[in-house]
Amino acid sequence: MNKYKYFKAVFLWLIVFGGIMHGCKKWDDHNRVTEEAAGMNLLQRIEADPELSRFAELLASSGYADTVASSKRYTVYAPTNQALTALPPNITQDASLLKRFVAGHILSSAYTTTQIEGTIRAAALSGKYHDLTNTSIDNIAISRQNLLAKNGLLQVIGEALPLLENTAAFVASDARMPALQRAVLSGVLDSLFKRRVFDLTNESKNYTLFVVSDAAWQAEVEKYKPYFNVPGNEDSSRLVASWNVAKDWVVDTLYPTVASLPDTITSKFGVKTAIPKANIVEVVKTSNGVVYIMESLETLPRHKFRDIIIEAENYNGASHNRLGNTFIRDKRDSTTGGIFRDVLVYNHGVAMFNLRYRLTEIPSIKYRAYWMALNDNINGMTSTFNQKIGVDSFNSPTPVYATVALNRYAEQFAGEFTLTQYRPTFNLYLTAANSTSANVNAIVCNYIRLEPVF
Amino acid sequence: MTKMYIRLTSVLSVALFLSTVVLGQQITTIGAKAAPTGMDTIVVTGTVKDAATGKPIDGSRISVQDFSAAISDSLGNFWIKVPFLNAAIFVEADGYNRQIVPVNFRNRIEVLLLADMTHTFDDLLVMPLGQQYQRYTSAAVGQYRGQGWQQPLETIDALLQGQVAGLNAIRRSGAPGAGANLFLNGINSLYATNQPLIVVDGMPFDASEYGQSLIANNYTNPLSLIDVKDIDNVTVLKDAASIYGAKGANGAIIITTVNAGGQQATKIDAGIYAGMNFAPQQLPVLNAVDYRIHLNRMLSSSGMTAEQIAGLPYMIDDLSRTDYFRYHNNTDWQGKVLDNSVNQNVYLRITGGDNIATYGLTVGYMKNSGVIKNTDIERYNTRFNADFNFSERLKGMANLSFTYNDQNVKDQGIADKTAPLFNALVKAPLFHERELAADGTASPNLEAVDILGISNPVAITDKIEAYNKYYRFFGSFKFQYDISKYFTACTMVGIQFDKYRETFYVPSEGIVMDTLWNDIANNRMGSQVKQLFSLFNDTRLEYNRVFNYQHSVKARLGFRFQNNKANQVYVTTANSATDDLVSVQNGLAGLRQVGGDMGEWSWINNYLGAAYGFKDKIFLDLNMALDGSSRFGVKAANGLTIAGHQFPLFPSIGAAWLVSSEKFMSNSAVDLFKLRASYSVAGNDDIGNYAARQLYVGQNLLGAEGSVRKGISNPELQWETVYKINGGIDLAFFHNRLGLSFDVFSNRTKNMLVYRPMESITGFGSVLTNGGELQNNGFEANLNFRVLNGQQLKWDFGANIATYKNKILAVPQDAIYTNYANATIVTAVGQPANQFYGYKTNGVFATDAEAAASGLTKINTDGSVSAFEAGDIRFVDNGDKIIDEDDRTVIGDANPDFFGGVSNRLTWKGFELNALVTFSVGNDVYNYVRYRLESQSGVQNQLQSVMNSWQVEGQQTTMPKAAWGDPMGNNRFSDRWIEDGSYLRLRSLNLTYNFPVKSNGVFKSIAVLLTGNNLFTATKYLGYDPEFSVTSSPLVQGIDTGLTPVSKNVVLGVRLGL
Repeated sequence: MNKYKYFKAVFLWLIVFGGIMHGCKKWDDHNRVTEEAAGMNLLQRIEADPELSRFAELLASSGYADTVASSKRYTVYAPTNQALTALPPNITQDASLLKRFVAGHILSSAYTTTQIEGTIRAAALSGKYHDLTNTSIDNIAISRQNLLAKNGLLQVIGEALPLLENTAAFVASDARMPALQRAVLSGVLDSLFKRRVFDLTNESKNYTLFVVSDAAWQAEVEKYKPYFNVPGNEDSSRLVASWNVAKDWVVDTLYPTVASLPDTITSKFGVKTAIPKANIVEVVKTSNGVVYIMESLETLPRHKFRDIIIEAENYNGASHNRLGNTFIRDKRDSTTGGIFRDVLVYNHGVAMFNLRYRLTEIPSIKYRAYWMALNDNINGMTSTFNQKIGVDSFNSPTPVYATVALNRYAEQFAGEFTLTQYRPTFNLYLTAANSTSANVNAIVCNYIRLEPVF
Repeated sequence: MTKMYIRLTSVLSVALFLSTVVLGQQITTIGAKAAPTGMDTIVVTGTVKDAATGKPIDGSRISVQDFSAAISDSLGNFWIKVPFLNAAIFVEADGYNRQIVPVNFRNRIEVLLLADMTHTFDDLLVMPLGQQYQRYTSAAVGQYRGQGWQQPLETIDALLQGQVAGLNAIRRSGAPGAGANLFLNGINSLYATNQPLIVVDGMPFDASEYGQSLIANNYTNPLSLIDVKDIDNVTVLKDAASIYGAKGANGAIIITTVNAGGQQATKIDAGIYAGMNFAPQQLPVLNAVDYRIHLNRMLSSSGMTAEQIAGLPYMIDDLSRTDYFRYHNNTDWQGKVLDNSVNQNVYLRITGGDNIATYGLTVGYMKNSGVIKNTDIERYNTRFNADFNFSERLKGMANLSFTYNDQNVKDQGIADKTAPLFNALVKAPLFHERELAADGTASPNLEAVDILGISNPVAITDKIEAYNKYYRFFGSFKFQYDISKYFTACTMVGIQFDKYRETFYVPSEGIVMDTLWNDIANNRMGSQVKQLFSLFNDTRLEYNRVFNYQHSVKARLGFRFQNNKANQVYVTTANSATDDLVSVQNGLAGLRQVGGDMGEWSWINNYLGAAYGFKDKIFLDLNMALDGSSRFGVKAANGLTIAGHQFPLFPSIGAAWLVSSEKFMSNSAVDLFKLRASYSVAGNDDIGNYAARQLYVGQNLLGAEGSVRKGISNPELQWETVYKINGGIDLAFFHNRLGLSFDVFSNRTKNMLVYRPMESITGFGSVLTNGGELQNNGFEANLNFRVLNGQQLKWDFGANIATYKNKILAVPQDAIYTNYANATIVTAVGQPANQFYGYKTNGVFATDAEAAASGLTKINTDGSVSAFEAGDIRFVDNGDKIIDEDDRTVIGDANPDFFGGVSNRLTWKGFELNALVTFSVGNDVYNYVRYRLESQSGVQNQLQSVMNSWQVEGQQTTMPKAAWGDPMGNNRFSDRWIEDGSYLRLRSLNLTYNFPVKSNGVFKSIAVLLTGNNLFTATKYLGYDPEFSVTSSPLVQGIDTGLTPVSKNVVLGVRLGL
């Protein structure tokens, strides 16, 4: 009889034990990853790949092994062993260089190639950015794509990503950089350039910079000096000329190869420069773009100096407070069909009432002035009236009064004047007729265009 | 008016009653003619032996009811006169089970008595109208003898699990005292109750919750007011409950509590218990390392750039930062809210009396803590039951009980901001529960809501106050007067009075702010009072007579009356000035919401119960009830119209034939062979107190207060009617060592309550009608077998199993769609009532090419179309290439294929080992918790399985990609979340050792009890536990919303007899 009890006890324990085991297993089954790699971290994944053993060693020696094993997500562009045979010995010997080199291959976040449309620029842990496409990184083809890991992805590349300086560093310290242009770009104009043109230290963007030999630079600056004539201050003239030369020789588009270069570039300021490809001496790849070292490069003055358009309604001041008589009008241009906005001052009762426009950085050239002024039967008026442009003063002798014709939508010549000096700032006036009669002394203007005359 | 219909129905019932009595008289005449002459001369001899040892039993009592009696001698021999050769002899002896032996034309009978059987057909059952031997019933019944001493922490509803074939007791949750939802023989109703009527000591025990708790998904279980040790006997009546009329549709559970059992000697039992509740095994959520990877995936999918993600404080691994320690932890949040806890119980029970009065008195105290920290239930209970013999003819009975419960609870289930368990699962392990200094030192202050917007689970368990105090007086007096030898009149008057007070306070500290309709609540508070007063009267005339020792007639004619008044008042408000001001008067007056409910309803039940037995082998039962209820609509059909009110008639008939008492079976090895059949009609009056009336509700319009109609009245609204057919066989073999019962049943509910959708032009969404119909067909089997019957070692094996097939026959528009917890449940004609209705899936697209080849798309809310891509779920499409609602199909069924229990009882010397195994097979479960923990659509922590989520082209996996906000609906209600909820559980295991005591010692008995519950569960279900029942509605069974899981506990106790 006791046997039965024993049997029962054993039986019960078997059920209990079996149940506990069963209970564990159900979760193991449910939580198991379908592909083994999905449960491995990047370090384990790299270490397990015989083709990446060299990179695994570099990860260990650079201290980045812990990083790629950590609980953040990364994309590792791992060069194959073969790619790393060509690694310059200075990198492996210099701990800080090695760190930068390895960090350059690790990107925060997971980038699957299938998600990438076009080119995206993504930062590596080194702070450098790379251009990613769905097949390449910085134009290096990915040989094995989207290898799965728990904390990110692995992309195998057949070539190591080089250690590159950025364009600003090239300008500042590279031996190939011509001295005169360097002096300008990284000297007194450095902060101006950063602010108004591009910050060439910015790794997240790509720039194409053109630099020219000292002689060519000298010639170009000399060429522009007359336009920036500061009487009695030769240095200032040269500096302003240098600035105006330098600002138009960089674009924030990447033209990585000569073949990809267009024959003309257009600067941020709309200035076109023809690129004579024959004059290219060297193409230097930087981490945020490319630098073309040219024998010479020229920007034509007629490209450099473009028309100055002054929107008349954006005046900086008026001779008298006549806001009650000032109308900012939205009008339809009967010739183009477009909408424009102009200014009309009517029945202000002041002889030679004027509006003032403050212009800046005006080169010393002769200008021809045009306006578009619509005298469209203002307040039932059927006559024309006169107004004039004043240079430096509202009643400057030239240009003289010009008649504003009735219902004329086209531009009208308003006279010409010459500046003999470069003008950092400069006042232009739009002056009414010397009368207090409402139908005679109106001012109307859409815009004033100053056309340089060479 | 009430009086009038009482009178009318009484007249009707009296007529029926008299006809039964007259019928009985006629039988007498027939019987007298047929009676054999010289009945005194029939003598039967026999021996009574112990079945285990074969030794004769000295002093066993042998009797023929109302005829003769004898006592066996030292050799076990007896002789006794019998009126007929087919009479039944009762054989009883101390320490043995009663045996009823049909003489069956034998002169000599050998009786083998079994000791200490768990169940035999000769057991005495407590039936609605008095006690009856199971052998003689025509009804399908199950019996449970109280094992409360072994299970001091349980409630009776949970304790019945696995004990009675066909009773599907599904425990609501693992919260202390939560109890179980009971479904007897399948589903009888969609919107009315499915709970069997619970009758305690002759009076209906109101076991339903009126008005919801203010604390999310807490069920206040009135049955937790009953100490299970008070319970002596439970009879589960599956059919023939017509006697309870409009409350009998779901059968009845008849509970009798402590009484002296006719013993006048004072008997004192004391029990002291203490035990442990064990926190459940944790769900495998992500640890800090994996969670951060997962969070990174999530944030990437939300469109954040690598730089933005890297700049988040929990992504910056810089020890020098002052907030480093705040964001770099690996906290086991489940461990912070789940904890092992203790339970204790003391209990004293005294029975005794003299020939004038016997009594049973109990007092008890229990405290049971939950596995969720700071939850517990404390109970103080007392009960006094007494039987008085005032005179020879007048007897009195008193059953009085008073219980006070004091419960600390927490939000459970779907309460994203405040449920401790849910928050522990989704809370990022990166955070800490305390504020941490720059050097990592923990401050005593709790951490606030984290930057991901999730509450601090420890603030929830420690700072949210939510408790209730609940008491009930349940008492009745009964007087019984014997008018003559055959007629008895009795009346019972009882009341139950409940008061339930509930209070909660949700602080601002560490808890996500709640959005009210008119404000943001940084803290919230509320309280509620619910009361129930119920008056009950049961008055009846009883007639008992045996004619000529062959025809037994029993008849009961009476009426029951119940009047109930319930009311509920609640106040909630928010934004008290500080977390120290926790009561409702401190909240802002403008945010105060005051509400409540009042209900009054009456029930009248005129009943007639008649039983006829012929020669102890053919039994006929007739029960009927004519019911009136204040709830029925005045134009209800199918009832008798009396004084403008509707009185449905609920009849039932039953018949049983004890084939084994027939002559041709006299020498058979079959000890008992009984055929049973019953047909009954019963009603369900749970149709709402005022649903049949035209109601108006308060309405505010531009500052003016007025009343508007609340829906369309349906004066034809009536009870649900359940038609039950039951057929059964009872068998006993091997000198009653093996007992078997089989039952088949077919239940059909007509006039079933349904919401009929209305045309929008009416201005109302739906109207409650009786337009539904469903049926349940099923089968049940019960087995009791004494496997070993040694002198010392005894093994009783019991098993029960039941199955039912539920089918909807009619619902409006042929289908009802119920939405709950992001699931859709379909109730359609021709199908089971509650099926999960969602999308079928077929894995995950590994590549974009695969997804493109499938051509599947989804239409967004703005009308644009999105194509499924690699990493999305491949939903099964109906052919139109668009994944939309038309692709849904039945994906699961929460009804089990079969369920039941297996019990084992081993006794050896002083030891007794009880093991109950319960099982439920084939029931599907919607794992809402896993849906939340694998949806990968936000910052919530997830299960470890999300590490397998799709990431790269070509990756083979079953887990879709992490996608912020789930734009493609990969997490829609689909078979991804449906699991097999089958389980086999070692429900309870008890070891008792009875110390040998000296007969003259201080202690009459000393027993040590060790009980374990839920010790082992075999299931494939991926959750804490496969058993839960979020509401009593059959439509939302099988949905795991994350209630406190049922967990293991162990109790050690000592029972002393003084």
